[in-house]
Amino acid sequence: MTTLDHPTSTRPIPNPEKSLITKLHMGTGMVVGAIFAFGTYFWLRSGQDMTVAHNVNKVLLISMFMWSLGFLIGIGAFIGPFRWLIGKDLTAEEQLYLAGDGQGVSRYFRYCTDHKVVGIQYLVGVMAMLGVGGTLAMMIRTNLISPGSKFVTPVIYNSLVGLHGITMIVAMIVVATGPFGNFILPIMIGARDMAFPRLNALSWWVLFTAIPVLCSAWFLGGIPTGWTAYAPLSVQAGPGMNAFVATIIIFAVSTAVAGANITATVVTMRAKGMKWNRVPIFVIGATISVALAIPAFPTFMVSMIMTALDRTANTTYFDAQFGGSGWLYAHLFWIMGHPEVYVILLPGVAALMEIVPVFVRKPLFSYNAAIMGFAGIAGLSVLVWAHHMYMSGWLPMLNGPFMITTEMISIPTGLIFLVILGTLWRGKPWMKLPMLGVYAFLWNMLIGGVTGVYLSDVPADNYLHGSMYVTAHFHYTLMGAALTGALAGLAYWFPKMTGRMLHERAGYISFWFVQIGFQVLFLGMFIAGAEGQPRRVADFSAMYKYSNMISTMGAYTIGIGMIVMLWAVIHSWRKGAIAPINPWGAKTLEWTVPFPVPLENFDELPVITSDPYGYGRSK
Amino acid sequence: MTTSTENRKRFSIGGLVFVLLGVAVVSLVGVLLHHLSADPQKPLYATKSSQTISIDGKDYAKASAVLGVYPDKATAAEHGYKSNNKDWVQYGPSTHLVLPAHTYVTVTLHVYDSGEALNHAYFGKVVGTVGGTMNIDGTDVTNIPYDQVQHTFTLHGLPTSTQDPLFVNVPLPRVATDDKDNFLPTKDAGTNYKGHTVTFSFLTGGAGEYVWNCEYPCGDGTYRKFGAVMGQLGYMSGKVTVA
Repeated sequence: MTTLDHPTSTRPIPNPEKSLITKLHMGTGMVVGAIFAFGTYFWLRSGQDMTVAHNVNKVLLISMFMWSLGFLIGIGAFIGPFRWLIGKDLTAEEQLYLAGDGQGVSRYFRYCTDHKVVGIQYLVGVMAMLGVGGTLAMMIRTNLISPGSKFVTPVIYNSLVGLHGITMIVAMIVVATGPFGNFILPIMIGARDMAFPRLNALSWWVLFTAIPVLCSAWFLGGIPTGWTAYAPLSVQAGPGMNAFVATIIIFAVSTAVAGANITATVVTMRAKGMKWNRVPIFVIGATISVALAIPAFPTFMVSMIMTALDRTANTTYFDAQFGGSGWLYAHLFWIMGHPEVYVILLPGVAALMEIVPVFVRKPLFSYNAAIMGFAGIAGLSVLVWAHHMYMSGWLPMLNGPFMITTEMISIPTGLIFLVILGTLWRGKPWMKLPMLGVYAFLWNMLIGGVTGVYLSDVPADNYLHGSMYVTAHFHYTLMGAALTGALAGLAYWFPKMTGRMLHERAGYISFWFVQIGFQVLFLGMFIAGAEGQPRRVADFSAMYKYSNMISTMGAYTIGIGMIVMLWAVIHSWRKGAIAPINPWGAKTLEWTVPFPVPLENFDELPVITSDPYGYGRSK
Repeated sequence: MTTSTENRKRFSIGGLVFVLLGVAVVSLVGVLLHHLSADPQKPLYATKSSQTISIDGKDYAKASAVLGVYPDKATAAEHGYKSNNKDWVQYGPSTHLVLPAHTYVTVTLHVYDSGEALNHAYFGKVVGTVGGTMNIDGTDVTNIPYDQVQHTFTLHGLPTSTQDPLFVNVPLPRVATDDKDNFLPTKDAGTNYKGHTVTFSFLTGGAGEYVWNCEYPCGDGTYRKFGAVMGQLGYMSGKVTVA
């Protein structure tokens, strides 16, 4: 067997034996994190009346944050800044060690600053999160297989819905920008690394600490609120809600750090000659996405801090009886919530737009229109949030203006469609696995987009809101479009990230299982929703039994397809065919570097003289 | 060529085993969750009687159940019930009732707690019982003042077409702390009261699963008394299985 994962450099492997950084890894992080968490828990609870809910919440929340802090200390996240503060900055050898130079597989379990390692960490983490979220979805659909099935209790069902929702949202936010934004993006722009390599590692490991916190919700009674965590329900909920609150606060720190890092990298570290109109479209999409996240997520974080204070310190931000307002929470949530949809969507779409020219061998049709489409979506996305609140009673006179801004967002979205269709027009597509994702996207996004227009319309929303129709609509956009884009991106960049080709036949099998199952699941759900089945309810009337049965069969089909994809990834990573440097004949910079990609990516930094989509041109 | 065929075979078998393993893992999670959904408390089965009663020209079999509402663990223990872990107000001996279908069910509640005021006066009315009344210490009543309530027994279900509708609301009268007659003479007047006996009857329909809860916010001081006991199962809420 050919071993691919070895350093190609002739430089001596750094080994700063006496440095503390050589002793720290994920295991030490977990030990220190556990000591911090349990130490804090037992110390604080000894002085509190633990029959009072406020005190329980206080102790649990502080313990969760201490786990995160302890883990980061234990893995060595703060060694660099600490050494700098005391005037003993890391030596060159230590910095190389921190970059994982020559450390083999162990660097994936360390605080490693190499952007390629961080990209792989994100990829594995995202796959794990999608696995957990998908399993929860199977449980939800099993409970809804027939009216009165009672597979789980309503309380467990509520937790399933909430934890499925938040797990998938977190996974989807990082599904493209995490693996590809970290591994591929810096190489695409001709950079040696990210602008802030230590922050890059920090963004992943902070996110990692949120995963056990979220999982702890199961052992603390679950979360009864769905992923929206509306107050005052979230304020009154049991101890499991603390896990949700802490997860969001920790996750918001991670996204802020990652967003600032990617934006700074793209703005300041592009190769010589890479003007803005020569930047690959994936880089543009990913950068607009993370730049959009930077102002959006803090509002969610603030709403969770306020929820935490209501739960622990007797404040009344969301208690109308004492001058607070439930609407305040809804606004803070949706000011994040709707831009977040595009934070998820844009990188996936941008990955597909990167794929189309390569497999059609034509330049990207109207690059400028694509940029305008992305910019238009990002700009309008911050002006549409109250369409989630049409029926809440909040200022009905503003429903009209928000309806107009929401419907306007279909214009830049249409531009994106036209760019893809224009690139496909009269082309002869090379029908490889990544290309299938493009066609699936066009179909799914069309359905997701058109059904969204009805929901943006106030009179239609009056009937459809809160129904399974809404659930089907946003799954068409988030899963049918964004996740399909990310999976196509995985098939496309897999050879560069792993040095091996993704098993094509298994990929095809997975693709068709997932796409057919997806249509069956969510078209059934559209029917049930249009007939009036409410979402987030554990049981339903017998009049919806056929559509729900069909939906559940579709869900199981997706599940099989996803397991096949997981098999394809694991098998191909271990034993797949060795990939050539540029298997697709693409023109972007990541396909010019060998595998394993050298520590600093390029021996000599490239100079860019044309755009990356010059297919079919004479020169 | 042979190696290639073998590799293909190995890949196919490996893939199939992996998919089966994946399905097994997801199924295992399902089994565990289903197990978690098992009843945490031993259900209380209504006692069936050989007697019948005729209502609106239709005969119904009779059944009965006896429950208590205890302000704390100690009081529950005094009445022979193994109480829940926390020292909160609680229904006993179980919060899961199993009732026979199409039956005239009589519930007797011995209630020992004090109270304040309902958030919504509607729950001070007796709803869904036979005759629209309940009996408190021998007197039939149709409602009690919203500020004289200790708890409610409010039984309802998801209105689906798979099971018959069932809604019963019975407000339970509080034991007044300023009423000397209501104190148990040997008990601490601050915490233990003599209590009331409430009896009511209702008709069950076909088989189905329903929930009941207390509509009086009786939690601790947090979240306007919706904290603590109001936020946990097994104390002031539960389910009713009609079988």
